[in-house]
Amino acid sequence: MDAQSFSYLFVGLSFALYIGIAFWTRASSTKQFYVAGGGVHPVLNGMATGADWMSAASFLSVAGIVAFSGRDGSVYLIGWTGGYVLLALLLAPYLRKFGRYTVPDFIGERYYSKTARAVAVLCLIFISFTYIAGQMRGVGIVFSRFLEVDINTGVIIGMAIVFFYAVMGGMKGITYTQVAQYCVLVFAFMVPAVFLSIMWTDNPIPQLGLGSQLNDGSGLTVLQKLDQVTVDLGFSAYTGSIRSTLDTFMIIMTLMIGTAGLPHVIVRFFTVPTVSDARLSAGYALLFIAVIYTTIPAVAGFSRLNLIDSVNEATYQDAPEWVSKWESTGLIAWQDKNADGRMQYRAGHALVPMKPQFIEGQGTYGQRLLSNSPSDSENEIYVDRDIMVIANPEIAGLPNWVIGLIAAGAVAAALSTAAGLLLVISSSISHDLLKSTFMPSITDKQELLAARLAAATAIVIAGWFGIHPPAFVAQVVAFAFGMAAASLFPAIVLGIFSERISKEGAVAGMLVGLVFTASYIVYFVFIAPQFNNAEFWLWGISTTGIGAIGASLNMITAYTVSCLSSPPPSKVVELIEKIRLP
Amino acid sequence: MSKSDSSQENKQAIADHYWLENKKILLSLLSIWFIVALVCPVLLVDYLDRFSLGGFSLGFWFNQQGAILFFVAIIFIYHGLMQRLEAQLPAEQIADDSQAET
Repeated sequence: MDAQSFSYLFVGLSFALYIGIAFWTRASSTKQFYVAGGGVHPVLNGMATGADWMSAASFLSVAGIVAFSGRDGSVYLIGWTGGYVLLALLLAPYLRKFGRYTVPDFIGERYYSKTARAVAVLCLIFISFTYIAGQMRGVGIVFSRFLEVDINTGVIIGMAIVFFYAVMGGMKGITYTQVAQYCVLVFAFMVPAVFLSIMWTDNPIPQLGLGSQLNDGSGLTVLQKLDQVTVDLGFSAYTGSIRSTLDTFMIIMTLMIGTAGLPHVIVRFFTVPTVSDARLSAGYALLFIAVIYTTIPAVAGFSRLNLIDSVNEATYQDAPEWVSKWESTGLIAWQDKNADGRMQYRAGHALVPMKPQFIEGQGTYGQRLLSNSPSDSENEIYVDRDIMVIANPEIAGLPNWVIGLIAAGAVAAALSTAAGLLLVISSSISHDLLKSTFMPSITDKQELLAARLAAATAIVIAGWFGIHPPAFVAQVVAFAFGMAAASLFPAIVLGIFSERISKEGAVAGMLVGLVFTASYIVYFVFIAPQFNNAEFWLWGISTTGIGAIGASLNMITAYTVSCLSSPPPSKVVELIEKIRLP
Repeated sequence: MSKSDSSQENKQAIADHYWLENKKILLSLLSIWFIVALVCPVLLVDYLDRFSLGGFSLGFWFNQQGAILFFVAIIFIYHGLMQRLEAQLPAEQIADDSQAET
């Protein structure tokens, strides 16, 4: 069987599984729809959270980022996992004790204000849609690369599947599907990693393999070899850093606070039976995530070696088959600048503009021709960083079924995250906007119907974004984390740990954090991209790291304004005291 | 002072004690979190890189694996400490959510 048939088989089987689970877990009440009835076992909830959290980007791109930037790529590993500590210690137990359905629910009640609730809904919808557009696109890309169907058809198939289990089963359906999706994606990620590790070091555990000696008899360890070849080719050393310490610090901080403030992650801890389970479940979630996140650096290191080993200085004709295969999808491009027929892989961008623009026709050696002008760098190869995970099985010469497995894993990662996001969007509309704000008289049944309609609408909008992606999907990820860090997280934490924060303080804080962070990012990314470098940044902090400053401003404003306004009513103080006890 | 008043006060005292202990646990675990997330992999990375651990220089190891492993440990330790603390609370002060909410 060839790789494509295996991909069809595995993706098809996993879809059948998800649909089966959807039938088995239909939701019959709003409580089941919003929080799966609040009775999910902590270990299962941990798995579901892991799948929810690991997006198409985690699955496909992070290893690529780390492979190309070495130690500097670690900010994503630390930031996206460290947030779970904040979540487990500062948010999850108290929000579980609060015992409602959504994040704006808590903000609305704690700050006794419909304005605060509305601001929270606004942040939530913005963060979630930003995120979901990328997921739908991810589904489309996986379909087009692995199954060779049109990208738009891929998006529509993905939408239909999510529609089926999210609208029918709500959180209940999503949770149990995500458990299955976690199993698919962890298996799909680990199998190639183990193969790679054995290939380079004979050590079957990738985490240890990265620290081991190479099995080529050179006596070097993997990391020594990586440092050596990267420096030889003009890159900075793999284990060294070129980012400023302050910027690294701020980026990690922002990603951690942002992770803890992401609504679709927070809401997962509303689904377990008790406060103690919420803590335990956060631990399991991070454990399941850590299995993959500690493997990512190994995959990154080995695949960087693989890439250099098999491509650099090779002639185009003798290059492995995957080079021309991925060239045909536009993920690899080669421009023979010095006309020696060999592919030089060096530091710097090979092409101007950076992304390859292919034209009709083939060069002397059969390579695809480009309309890009050559850059000053000696580098002749463009490599898309997503290729590190996708092409790994071929680069390492793994059997075809592994490729099918990766396809199923990537689809699982994208679908699970999309479904989780859709649910928080739909519940904040049906629950926070309709039930709690505009139409308090609707019955549970009507609210459930509204939630389903909202989920359906959100899927269609998300699908539209997937088919017509805004050009800036990659840049807006910084947006989602910055916003979550600067708006929701401080408001929730202050609401639990300080009795003094008033509604005026909270609303002012959220708005200040939001406006500051949003304008900083919008200015540098969209209005004046020519200034988007360390020279012009505030204290040299990049747009990815600015959310931490936004969060601090939020807290300072909230505190100052609260001291100047009247304290919260006694009912709210009682609520705070109640949620502090388990 | 009536009997119910004193039991009310007693309850409040237990709740205050619980909250204080909780905050102590949080403070110490968050300090560890800060050290493994930001001090070791970022602020002290060059110093730690002089040491090595299983083929990794230590600072780099914290960047790519160590911090994550510590995070997992911190959450499970927190869960354990809080369970011990909660075991000291009288039963009537722990809300039984699984029944109260349905």
